[in-house]
Amino acid sequence: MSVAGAILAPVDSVRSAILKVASPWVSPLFADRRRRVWWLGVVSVVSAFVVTGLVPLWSLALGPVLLGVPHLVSDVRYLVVRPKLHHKPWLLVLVGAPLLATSLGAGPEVGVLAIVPAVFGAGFSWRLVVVAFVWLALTAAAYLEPFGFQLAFVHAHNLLAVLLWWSLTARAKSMAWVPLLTVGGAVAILAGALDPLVTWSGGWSAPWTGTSFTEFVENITPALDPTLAGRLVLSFCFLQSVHYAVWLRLVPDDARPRPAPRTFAASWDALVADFGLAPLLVFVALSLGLAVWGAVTLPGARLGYLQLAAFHGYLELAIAARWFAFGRAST
Amino acid sequence: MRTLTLAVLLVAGVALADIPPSNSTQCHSAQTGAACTTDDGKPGTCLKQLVSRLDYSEGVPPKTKQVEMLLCVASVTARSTATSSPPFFAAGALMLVMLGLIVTKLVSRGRRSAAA
Repeated sequence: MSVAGAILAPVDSVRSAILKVASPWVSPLFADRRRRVWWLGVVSVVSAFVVTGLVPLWSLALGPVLLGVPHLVSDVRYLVVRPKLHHKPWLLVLVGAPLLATSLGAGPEVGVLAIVPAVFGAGFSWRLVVVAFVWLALTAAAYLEPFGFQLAFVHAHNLLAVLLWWSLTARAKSMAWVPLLTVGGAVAILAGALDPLVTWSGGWSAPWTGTSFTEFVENITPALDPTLAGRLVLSFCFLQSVHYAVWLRLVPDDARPRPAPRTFAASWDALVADFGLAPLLVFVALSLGLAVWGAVTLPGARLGYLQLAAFHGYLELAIAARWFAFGRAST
Repeated sequence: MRTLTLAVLLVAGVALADIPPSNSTQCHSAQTGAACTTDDGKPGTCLKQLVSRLDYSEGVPPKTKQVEMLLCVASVTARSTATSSPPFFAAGALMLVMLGLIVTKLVSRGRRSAAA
């Protein structure tokens, strides 16, 4: 048994014992993949809404530090590794170069450039024409109004993950609850639905996080009415939580070859099969390092992570364009 | 996020109501008296100044309060050697290099499995 297997075996034993006791109640919830993904999606969105109302600044500060790296790993795993795009070195280099440049500080017009090589190989069709127009429009917007573009993209890329998840497989109508609740939640937050809960919980201020609403308003909202700007920060917090839930829970559940849930040890083995052990250990070290860094200085760790993660929104955009141009997901 | 916005602001060069106070970004994690560069590129020194900021600590609509914060004040004697967030940039760059190595490893794995 591997070291990871030995570490995860007790956790799996506890999980197995709990499932055995709770089997009569939870079996119907977990056995069927569609049903499981549906309720996990709904619970994730509702939880994100409640957490945003109770502890928004903690969610904004801790979310990227604790879940950031695992969600980036999932991003790369399901958008690049599983579709075996890394078997095409030319694609890896041409898409990877602009993505890497954005993480090193290049402008948004460089990030959207990743769309172009991502659709190489798609036959000429109306889909390719749409992608070309979208790319031109995004590039023009990024050149003419880079600040506004970045702000819009910071918020919109959270929804892009929901769109990618939706495109991953054929969906039953009932699954529409997940995107509907997501959009509905964001609209409700912008309309002020969470203001009383945040005030009740004292969530407008959390000095221990080393950050404040003022800081987020100054950094991730455009020139707006100050009340609407504060709500836009809440909306970002909510959508960021949904974004993490999509990559860490919903997409893995949908993309798993076996419909039933698997043990933690089996999940680790699957990760090793996808990435190899050495890269996986680097990911674990990155996650732990970021958590330790966060314990020392939470704002510093958050900024360090954001520097690293700047590429991933454009990766999602490029792969969304690829899926659309080819007319199917996981191409 | 501040790093992202900083980069954007450098490119954009526009002034919107909700961006951080002028000349504040370089001095955010600096000490009083540290060398800096003003938003318009002049060498300066980080000095405590009173500025007006929105305060959301009691909810919306926010109140306005005067707070003391470090701003980059232009000075003919100060050296313009300060940078805004070198530790964050260095850490990010280091993580990217590690990711690059991982991608290289993945490509070689991909080739091996393709060959097999």
